[in-house]
Amino acid sequence: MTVESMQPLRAFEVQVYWPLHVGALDLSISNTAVTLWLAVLLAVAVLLLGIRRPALLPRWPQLLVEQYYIFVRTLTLANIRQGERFVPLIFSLFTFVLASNLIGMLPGMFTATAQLVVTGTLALMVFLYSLWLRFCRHGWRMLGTFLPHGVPGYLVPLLLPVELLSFLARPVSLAVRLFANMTAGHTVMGVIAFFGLLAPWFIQWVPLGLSVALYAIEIFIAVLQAYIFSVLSCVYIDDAL
Amino acid sequence: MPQFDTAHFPSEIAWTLISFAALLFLCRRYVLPRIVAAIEERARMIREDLEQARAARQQAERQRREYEQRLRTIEREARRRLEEAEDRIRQQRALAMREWQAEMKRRERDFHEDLSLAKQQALREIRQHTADLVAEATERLLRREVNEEELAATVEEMLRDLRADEQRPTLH
Repeated sequence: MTVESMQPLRAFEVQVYWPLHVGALDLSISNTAVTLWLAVLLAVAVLLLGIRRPALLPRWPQLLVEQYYIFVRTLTLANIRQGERFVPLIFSLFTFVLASNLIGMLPGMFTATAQLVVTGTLALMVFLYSLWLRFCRHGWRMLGTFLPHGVPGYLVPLLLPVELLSFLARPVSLAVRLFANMTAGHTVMGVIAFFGLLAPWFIQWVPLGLSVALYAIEIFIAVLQAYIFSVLSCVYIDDAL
Repeated sequence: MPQFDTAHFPSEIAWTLISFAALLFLCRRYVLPRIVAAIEERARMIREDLEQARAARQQAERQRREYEQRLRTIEREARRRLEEAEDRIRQQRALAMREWQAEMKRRERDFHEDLSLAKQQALREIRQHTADLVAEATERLLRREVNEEELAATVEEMLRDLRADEQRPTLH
């Protein structure tokens, strides 16, 4: 094994297993698609297994599932006024991102959330949904909501582009934050692990031990990024109401 | 970076949307209702237990108040009965006293009446006896000449008889 053979970014390459086109729609089955299915199936299976025999005095699987739901519900209600109706959406979003992040932590598995197009799609979906909510709430007067209250008229030409730009930057920042964190974490882990394999046998424990610590940090970051993605989605939805 | 290879973007966008939509559907349809039902069932049970505990506490409080009220009623009733008994005893004693006094008065009256009757009878008897004596003396005087010595002796004899009669016990 040589340094030249180190290609940590290869873990992010999309591999098409089965090209599939339905009309103009490209539905090719790739490692991204498989990972996303796995994330959905595993998340639903774990949640349903945890709650399959609901008891008044819950055992730990049911307790974990309930606490998970209460956590996401609290998060939603804390960030969206009268946000009860958005709980299923945020719950699904949180679960989707968290499951995709955690599946990527399993050795040999692909990380779907390390794909900018995946995080970008999710971020754009939230952005468009919040835009639609804003339109439903304010109609065409929603353009006026981009300006803070009490702004002097002469500042409007200056502030409107700034506000619009910051508004349009929301999905970009949302997508890039998750994508960059996942990519950076996995890349660093790959590099450190590679160094561990390249190092002499008597010093291998340093990079390999470090990779174990990084692994724990990555799990924490996977949960944290799902949380941040959900919280920011809540903030954008609440801002639209 | 391989993530910027746009060749796979259409399929990845499609599968991301499809997967998320599937997860949203499954969560809304199967997962969340079960979790919410379990939590609400527990919350309902806890709420019912709390309600039962609250009701039991209220009932205990009500029973305590009723018990205290009953105790007060019993105490009041006991006091009333005691007072009634005291009144009755007092009245009975007063009645007995009045009856005794009336009896005493009646006895006294009877005694005075008897005394009066005895007196009157004694007077009548004295009067009758005196009349008899006078009649007898008159008869004796009319049958013979009376001298002073015989008259005196006769009168003396009559007075002795009278004293003897007085010393004889009466019927009363």
